[in-house]
Amino acid sequence: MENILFTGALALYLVSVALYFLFFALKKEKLGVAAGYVITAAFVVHTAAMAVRGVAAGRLPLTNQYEFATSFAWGIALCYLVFMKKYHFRALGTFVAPVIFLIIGYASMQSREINELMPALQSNWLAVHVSCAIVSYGSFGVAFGVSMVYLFRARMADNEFNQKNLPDAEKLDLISYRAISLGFLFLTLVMITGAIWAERAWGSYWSWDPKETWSLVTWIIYALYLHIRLSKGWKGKKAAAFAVIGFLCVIFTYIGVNTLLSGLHSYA
Amino acid sequence: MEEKKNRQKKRSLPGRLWSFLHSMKLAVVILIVLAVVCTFGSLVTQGQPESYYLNTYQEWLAKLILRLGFDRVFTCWWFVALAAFLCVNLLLCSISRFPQVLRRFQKEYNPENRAARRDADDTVAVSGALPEELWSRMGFKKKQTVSVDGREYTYAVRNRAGVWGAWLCHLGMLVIIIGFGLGQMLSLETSVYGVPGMTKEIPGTGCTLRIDDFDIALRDDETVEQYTAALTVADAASGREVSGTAQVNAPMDAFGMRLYQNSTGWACNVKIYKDDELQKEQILCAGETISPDDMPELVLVFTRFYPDYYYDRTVGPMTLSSALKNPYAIFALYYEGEVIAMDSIGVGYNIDVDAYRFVFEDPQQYTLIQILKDPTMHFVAFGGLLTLLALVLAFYVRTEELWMYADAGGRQILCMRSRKGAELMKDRLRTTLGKLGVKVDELTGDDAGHMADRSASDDAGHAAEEPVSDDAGHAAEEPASDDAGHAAEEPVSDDAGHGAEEPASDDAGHAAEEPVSDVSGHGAEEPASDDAGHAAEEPVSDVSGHAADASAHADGRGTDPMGQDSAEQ
Repeated sequence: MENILFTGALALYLVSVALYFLFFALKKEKLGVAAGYVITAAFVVHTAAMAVRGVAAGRLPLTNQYEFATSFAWGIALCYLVFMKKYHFRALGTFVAPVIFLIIGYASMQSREINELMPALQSNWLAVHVSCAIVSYGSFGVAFGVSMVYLFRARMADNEFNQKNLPDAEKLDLISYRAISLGFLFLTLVMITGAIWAERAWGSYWSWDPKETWSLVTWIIYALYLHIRLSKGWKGKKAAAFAVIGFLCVIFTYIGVNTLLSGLHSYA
Repeated sequence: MEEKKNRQKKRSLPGRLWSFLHSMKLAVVILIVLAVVCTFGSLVTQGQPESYYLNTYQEWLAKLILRLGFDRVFTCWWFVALAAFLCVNLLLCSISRFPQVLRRFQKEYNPENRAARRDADDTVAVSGALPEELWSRMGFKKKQTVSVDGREYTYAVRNRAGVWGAWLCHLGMLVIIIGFGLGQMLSLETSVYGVPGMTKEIPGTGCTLRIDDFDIALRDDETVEQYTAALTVADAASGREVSGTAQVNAPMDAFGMRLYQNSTGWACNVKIYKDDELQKEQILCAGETISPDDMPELVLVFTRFYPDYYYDRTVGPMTLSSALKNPYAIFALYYEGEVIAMDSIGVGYNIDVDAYRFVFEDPQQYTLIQILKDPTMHFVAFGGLLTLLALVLAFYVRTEELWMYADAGGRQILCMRSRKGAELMKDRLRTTLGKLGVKVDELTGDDAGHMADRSASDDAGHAAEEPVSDDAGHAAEEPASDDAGHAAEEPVSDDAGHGAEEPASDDAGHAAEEPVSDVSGHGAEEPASDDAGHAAEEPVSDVSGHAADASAHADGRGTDPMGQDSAEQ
């Protein structure tokens, strides 16, 4: 059942990517509306897949590479839907949907076997830690999409379609900032809850493990964004570029550290 | 501008040093360096012996890593110095900004200031009476009435605590870094291992640890569900004992120490016979050694243990399961430092060396208990909590003001302002008015003229008299993340522009000396969409004139990042 739902969600996300692309390329409003419905449907099916897995595992599905990857994609989809509704910014999907699809695609390549948890992973703090990471990474994913729009917007023709579907630069900067604020708050929570969990599981709240170190690097990147965005000449395009770099750090923290570096987080 | 440059030139060295040390510029540089260094620290395996780097990397690179301390980045002196520098920056920034934040918290939000400043983010006119319910629906519990220049204002403010957000965030980070640093110096970390029944001294604590029991709970598929060690800690000085259990994710506390179930391994009861008589027996954990009492030069090393031994031709010795089905020990025998034997032996079998016989018996699992005494842990936890709360304050507790007065025509003029959430509050105000069935009239030209008169005359004077409450000053005082919020959420307001342009050290004086250019900032930096609202408050001729002034002014300040930095940090 979970496999069917997961595959269904994957397919729907792919369809939404295609629709958003066509919406943007052909400048047809109807395609954008359809893409919105499809990505919402994908999110619902995706949620059902995670719920089914959670019931089968008897716990929150947040503990291994597959579970976190699928949750990561779910978090970005959730944040996207929230921001889309709040700011009526449909075109954002053109840049965010591919990110969701790539991450859930990565999840599809991981083992979906449900295993019993090792003692170190049997902690409520882990559930809080990963849940916060989903919101944080999801928000950064949205900020990445918004920043990409910002960076591309200047090169786009100032036609009626773009005027209607793309917020002005100030608004884009504001949406990106709000997404990063939310992500930054939750990233701080991720690090604090992770530290509490690590202290109880391994007797050290901070060990300079590569995952910890990269989460700190990501935190610093976004802290820098929040600071230098104020400086003259940094708000706008440069800040948007910084938000993109920040999300690349997020991706490396999640995937790169696990695959290229070794440490305590080898299971996640 | 020239005057400002001269003022800076005249600054004393300590003054310039003070500005530099608590500037945002310094903080940004330190953070960038920290990020780069941390990246290196995660890419280069840390804490290995010198030979590891020489074997892993090219010789020149290995030598560079070792020489620069990149093999131990996070304990290296320059990394500690970098962290200390950041602490100094955070501390000085917190000290320098405290009076400003306190002043803003105490003084800014009062009706006299607000009524006089006329810098509403949204202003609506209502023909009929405003329902009392509006205030509570908007979240304002208390309101006050004040008379300014013969006009009565009803004023309310909420979420004032939000002004502390960024300041507390910096303080929280400072607490975390200092706490972590002190923890590295003051904490005691050690470990004790053994099997049930053993009592061992906990080094450096004056306490002993008795392992009462050790249980490994297995699931049906033989995976481990939990490790549980029943422990008793005895304090030699007081004679008191504390008993409890330590599990993974559930450490035990005793005498200010925290005991963690860290890991486990196999131990055997090793017996030494001499001429068939039992001479000695000792529980030996894998990795430990034993010698006959009368021949210390003969040493048996218990290397490894396999509970379900199997020898694979390609993999070598391995265990097929964790159950004691075919227990084997791997050992090495040394005589006067020379290896004389190295082999595997089944439990219960004999290893004979001349008159001596070694036998491995009664395999059982030992527990390794990690012991930590870190007096700063709660301090760090407090810092984390403070940072978290501060971020909530900085990002989501938006100070909001609502005030109302009756104009000459008898209409109610309702004004709102929010430093960080103008758009949100504006939407909420309009929605609430709609729900209450209040018909909103936009301000007419007459109203705008009336307000503009006040702006032109009163505001300038007010700014000159009270530079602290001036917007330029606030923006300069605003911490980085705070400013970020304000600038981002109110991109059309003058604060955003000033926040980026106003030097901190001069803010008060500057505002006092140049009140007009400050007021004009509105016109200079607001895009067309919002101009409509504010332009109504300022005469057209004034706006255009000031816009030019402010642009030139802004350009000039853009070349002064240091002053700006210290303002925003």
